[in-house]
Parts: sequence; C-alpha cells; structure tokens
Amino acid sequence: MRTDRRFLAVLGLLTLIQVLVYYDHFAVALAFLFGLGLGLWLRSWTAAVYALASFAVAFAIAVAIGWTEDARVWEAFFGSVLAVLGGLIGGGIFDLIRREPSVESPSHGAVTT
Amino acid sequence: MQDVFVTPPGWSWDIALYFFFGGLAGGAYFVANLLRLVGGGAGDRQLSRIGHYLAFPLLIVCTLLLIKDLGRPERFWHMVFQSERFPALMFKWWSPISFGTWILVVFGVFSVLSLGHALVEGGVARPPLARRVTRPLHEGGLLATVFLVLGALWGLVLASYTGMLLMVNNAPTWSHDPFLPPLFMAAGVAAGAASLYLIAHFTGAGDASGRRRLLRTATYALALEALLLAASVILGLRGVSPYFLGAWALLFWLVIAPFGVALPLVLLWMAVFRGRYLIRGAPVVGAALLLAGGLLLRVLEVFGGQAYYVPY
Repeated sequence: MRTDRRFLAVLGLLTLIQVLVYYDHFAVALAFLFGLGLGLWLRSWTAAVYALASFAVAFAIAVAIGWTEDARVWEAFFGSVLAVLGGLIGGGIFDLIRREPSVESPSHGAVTT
Repeated sequence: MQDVFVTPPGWSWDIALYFFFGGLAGGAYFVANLLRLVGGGAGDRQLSRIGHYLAFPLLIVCTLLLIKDLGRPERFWHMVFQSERFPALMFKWWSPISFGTWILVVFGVFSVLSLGHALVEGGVARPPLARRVTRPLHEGGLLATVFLVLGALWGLVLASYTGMLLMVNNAPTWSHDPFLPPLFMAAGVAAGAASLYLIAHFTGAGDASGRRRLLRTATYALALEALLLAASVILGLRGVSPYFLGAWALLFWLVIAPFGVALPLVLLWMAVFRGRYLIRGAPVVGAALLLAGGLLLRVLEVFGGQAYYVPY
C-alpha cells in the first residue's frame, strides 16, 4: 500500500473533487477518468483498488451530508465498477506488457528478455 | 441563432465518454489488426497486442456507460432480447439504437477473441482452449486474413457509428452534418494509434519502426480529422452548430481547434515526415494533445450540440 505524502494528497484531492461534483452524472464518469488517470500514473493494477476506495469514500460522504438526491444505488454500483475498470485498464496494460517474456528497450530498440 | 423547439435528447457525460472511448476502442482495434496484416515482425505483433488488450475492456466500459444512461439499467437486456419471447433476439433495423447495440455485440465477439489470442501469444495466460480457438483467427492463412480484415472494418464501424447516431438525431445542430460519421471515424483511428504509441513509448513495447508506423497512422488520421472538421465547420455556418454556440464556440476556437487539432498535427507532421522535433518530446506531446482534443471534441459535440434549445 502506498503511503507517500504526494500520493495521498492526490488521492485526497480526487476524492474531494468527487464529493463536490456528486450531484449529477458527472461523478460517475469522473470516477472512471480518475481510475484511468491513477492507473496511468501508478502503472499497476493496484490503481483499481485506490480508485474504488476513493469513489466509495466520496459517495459515502456525499450521502452522509445529503448531497445526493437520494440513495442512488445504481450510481454507486456503476461508479464503483467504472472506477475499478479505469484503474485496471490504465494500470493493467503496463502490468500485462511487463509480464510478456520479451520487451524491447525504448531507447535502443534492442530486444531484451 | 434561429429559435428551435426540438427537445434535446438529454445526453450527459456518460454519452460523451461513450463516444470517446467507443471511438478509441474501435480505432485501437483497427490499428492493431492493420499492424498484424501489414507488419509481421515480433515488434509489430507486440504493438498489435496492446490494441487487442485495450479494445475489449474499453468496450465493457462503453456498454456500462450506455446501460447507466438508459435510466432503467435493470432493463438493459431488452436491447438484445425480446422480453416477451426470450430468448428471441431483438433487432430493429430501422432503429439507430438497436443497430448500435448490435454493433457493440459483434465488436465484442471480435475483440474478446483477439484479447484471448493476445493473452496467449504474449505468454500472459495459457488456456489451451483459447489457443486452439483464437490462433487460426490471428496467425497466417486465409481465415486469419478474413477475420482481421472484417474485425478492422468493424472497428471503423464502431468508431463512426457514434457520429451516425448524432446525424440521425433530429436536433438541428447535428442533423444537417453528414461529416460527423467520417469525422468520428478519423478521430477514433487517430486516438487509437496515438494511445498505442504512448503505451509503447512508456513501456518500451515494439520496435522503433513499428512505433514510427503508429505515429504515421495517427498523423494521417489527424490530418483527415482536421479536413473533415473544417468541412463540418463550413457547413455549420449555414445553420445552428456547436462550433458557433456561446461558450461552446470558445471551447472549440480557443482550445480544441488550436491545441487539440492544429498543434498536435504540426508537432506530429514535423516529427514524422521532416524528422524535426519542434519541442522536446514532440511525438509524445503531440499524441497526448491529440487524445485530449479527441475527448474534448466529443464533449463539445454532445453538450454543445444540445445547447441550441431555446425555451418558449
């Protein structure tokens, strides 16, 4: 689990933004984009876990302070799944390519195994 | 602006993202298949696998966004099956929505087979069934050629369909514009090639010639996108168009046109065809700007295209 200050600050900011916009469909779409962004940044499937946690916390806070119109089960469901998919796609692609037996060097184009 | 009283479809971020990622999935799949058809080296095959890794998961995302937009998500299966005569299939050739559903379903078949093959070929997973089923469809022989060509064409269909969906809508901002389907197709291919290039650049996948091929494809597709966009803008002068509507016009003229189309086109063109990097890391910056421009273009078309409504 990542605990460095910069990462936690970014994750906190993403969560806060999701809480603030949690009054329309934008939040769910944003959950996917944030998951994707985290994945591309961390280059690991574990971004899916952080994206899901961020969305879950944002949704819970939004419900607790009454910023959602009602308990929107579908939005919670789609937001969670899309956050996970965003993290998996953004980070998973790097994991998949790393797991391939041969990857060529970006600088020299030489094949390394 | 003329007063029009057609109610907007009420599309939101779900649809804007669906348009972008649908185009990206179709474009990435098209480019991946093209690499496999005309390339052939180990480097090209690895680049092609990146496209195949991406296409199916992105299709799942698109499907979820569409289901969420339905309003009654639990009834999504009514789009594929007839509720009264299950499991009879639901297909209305005259309905763009039904047509789109089947475009997604067929693309799902192509892309999941390619994902299975990529996982096996890449040595990431080795399920014997996936190897037996998918190998003849991707490696050598007439069957592979037919599958890859049809899949590539279907990727283009998916990328252009979203533009078609706008065009057949009765909103005055879209209905007059026959350039939308080819514009979305070109934007999808450009985004697909650019995303493959960026992933290859940052992971070291593929070889230098394969990456150059990706950049060339992205540049040609972006040039075509720019031409079609110009045609669409000229056509928009005669009617109601998101390119000239209030704040959306500002987004288009101050952000999308200069930084999402023109600048990446100049950066990529100079890097690919003249061998000149106008700024440090020009291909990477160009490809990233191209992707951001593609996303903003869909946002403009979806939201700006609904801004014509004047209440009375």
